[in-house]
Amino acid sequence: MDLALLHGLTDPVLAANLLDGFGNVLTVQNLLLAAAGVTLGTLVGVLPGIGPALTIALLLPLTFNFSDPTGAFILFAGIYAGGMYGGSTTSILLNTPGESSSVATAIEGHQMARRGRARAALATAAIGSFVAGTIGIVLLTLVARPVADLAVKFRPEDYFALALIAFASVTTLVARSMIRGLISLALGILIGVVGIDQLTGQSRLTFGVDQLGNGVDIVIVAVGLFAVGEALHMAAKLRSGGADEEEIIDPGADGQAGDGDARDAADDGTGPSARGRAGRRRRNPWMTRQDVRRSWKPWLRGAAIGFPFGALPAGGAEVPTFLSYATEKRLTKHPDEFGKGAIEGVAGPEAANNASFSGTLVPLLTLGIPTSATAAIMLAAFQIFNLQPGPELFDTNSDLVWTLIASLYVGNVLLLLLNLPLIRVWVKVLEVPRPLLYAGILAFATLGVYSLSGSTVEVLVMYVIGVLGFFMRRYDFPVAPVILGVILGPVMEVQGRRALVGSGGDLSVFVSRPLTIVLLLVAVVALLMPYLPAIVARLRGRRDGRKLVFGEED
Amino acid sequence: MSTDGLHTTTTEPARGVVHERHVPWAGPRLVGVVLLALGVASLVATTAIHSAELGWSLEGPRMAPLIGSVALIVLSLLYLLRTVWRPDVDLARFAANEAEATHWPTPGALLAALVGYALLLGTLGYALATTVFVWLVSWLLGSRSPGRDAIVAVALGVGVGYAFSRWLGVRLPAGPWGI
Repeated sequence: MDLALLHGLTDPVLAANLLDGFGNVLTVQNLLLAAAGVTLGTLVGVLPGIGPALTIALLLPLTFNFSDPTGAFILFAGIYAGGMYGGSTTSILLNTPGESSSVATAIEGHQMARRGRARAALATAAIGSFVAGTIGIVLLTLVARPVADLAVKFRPEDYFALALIAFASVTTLVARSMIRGLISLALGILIGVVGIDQLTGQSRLTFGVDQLGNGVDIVIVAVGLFAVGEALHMAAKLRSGGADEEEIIDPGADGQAGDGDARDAADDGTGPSARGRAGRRRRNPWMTRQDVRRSWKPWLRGAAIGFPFGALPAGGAEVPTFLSYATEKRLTKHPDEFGKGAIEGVAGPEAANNASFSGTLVPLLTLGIPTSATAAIMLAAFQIFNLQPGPELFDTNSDLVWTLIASLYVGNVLLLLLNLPLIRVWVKVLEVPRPLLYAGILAFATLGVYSLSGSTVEVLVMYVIGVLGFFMRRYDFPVAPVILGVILGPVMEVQGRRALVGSGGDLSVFVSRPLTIVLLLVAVVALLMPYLPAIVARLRGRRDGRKLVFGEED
Repeated sequence: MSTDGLHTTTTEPARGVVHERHVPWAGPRLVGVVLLALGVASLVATTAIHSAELGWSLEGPRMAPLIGSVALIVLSLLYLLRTVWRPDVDLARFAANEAEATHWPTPGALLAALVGYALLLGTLGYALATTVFVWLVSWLLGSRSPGRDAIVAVALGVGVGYAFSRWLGVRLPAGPWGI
């Protein structure tokens, strides 16, 4: 691995590819697109309860009509980066994480904000995202091509097993009950088979509706489940006062800073940093030297935890953020502050979150396998441009891949430059009245699907899926497995059938090569992973084992 | 959605003492029955897929929907079982809390507004339909600042319509007024 990375650093082909990518991004038009993407992404991501997946789903239509996919993907990379950053702002100032990967940030970040340290929390989140995001993108740059070269050797049965891994990990980790997680997955797979069969041309499960002949577009499913489902769910509670306990914390306010800073100063002891803090207290600094000293290691550790978890098809960003949180809690020199606003508890998980996204791009770009809901919607964006991520993409659309990777670097820098100075604007966005917010989300969702298809029927199909999403939320079914089933179900089916056709219908094709067997075993482990703590506890003779589950909002 | 999203256990400590028999099971059971019906419907639809040569073979077009529908049927039966035997009280309590917080006429009216919006989009044109929709939905959701809502609604309808059709080349229905 180390040798491969070193080799990568000096690889002239890689350098040339990346330089070409930067050459494409660094034009006035593309820089403007990147800036627009970052700003729009943050704007929508900041809206309460809206995470990156929903941000991307809502803003997908912006890219439909680009004749050139490069510009679209530059905009898109910006939207993603901005959506993620915006989510952390909401978690910190409003304690409303838009998705489960921001929950860890919300735990400590919101406490920091309540104690008058909102600016430090926002800054450590932003800089940590930048540092870890950049590390993640560098790693992505180095491993993408080698993994793609490796993936060329993959056979259909290996893709089948990979899809199984993605199913198992996402379904079991986001669902509070495995039955409900698997029901969601089965629903997704059934929606995925609607339409014409790719291999035989037969029409399937259309129930006599002509418009379903082309299948149900993933954008319709994503926007329906995420946007319409969420808006209906939140709107239903709006008038019974379900949403009015929210309190937005003004990052510039000094009101509560008194006790926080006094306590900090007392905890920190004496020394130059304590004096420096006292001297600047009135200006409410972004980050003191002490904050930086306490943040930089969590940033690096977060990146180290986040990237591999994203890169392996193992459940996206939820696991590494909580793992990073637990790590920082164990390593900190200020254990008493955890739960009351420890800066390490913001720095680590935010870094892990961003690094893990760069990680999820590895299986997405090289294998065409999305390992999180957000990655699944990214895959939908590729499909809009008739691009199929996978090993061939690096040969057929090398330019696009490297431009996308270069634009991730640029987006990360723009984000850092734009966001902290504009924090006042984002606070205003947080204050948007909820009725207008949900009205706007519904209007945008309709606009998106209408502009995709120009057909009222598809808009109505989206509403039906939205009602499904509404009830899924009420009965605690996870929605991410549905998206995964719609996208990966057909991939898995086609690959599985190809493998069977190749073997003449002999099922042993799935266990005839070590690689396939290993992948299938990983899928089994992924399925059992949430139960590992319970199994371990059982083995040790205790009965209080708990199932490990990460909440899933979108 | 708050930090409650983090669940390290399936058996959360009960908020208040809610005994099993007091938990309403009608909702979860109805959901199970609907899921079961969906599974059966797709199984029936699966048998209707033309598959002359391949029949029910593993590599035929019927296999994936067959696996999906059978899985859904089995899983929804398991789900129904958990409402009777070793009942999943957490789920029932979750659903009961949701039901308590729900003001039912709101999502109903919202859905009607959505359908009306979709159907009138072509006739009224994007700008007008969106303006009316946003204004009406804000009011439905409890906003009591019709003036402010109207300004936002017009900005969204006309502004977004203009921006999307002029700058992004999205074809939106023009309506009798040309916007």
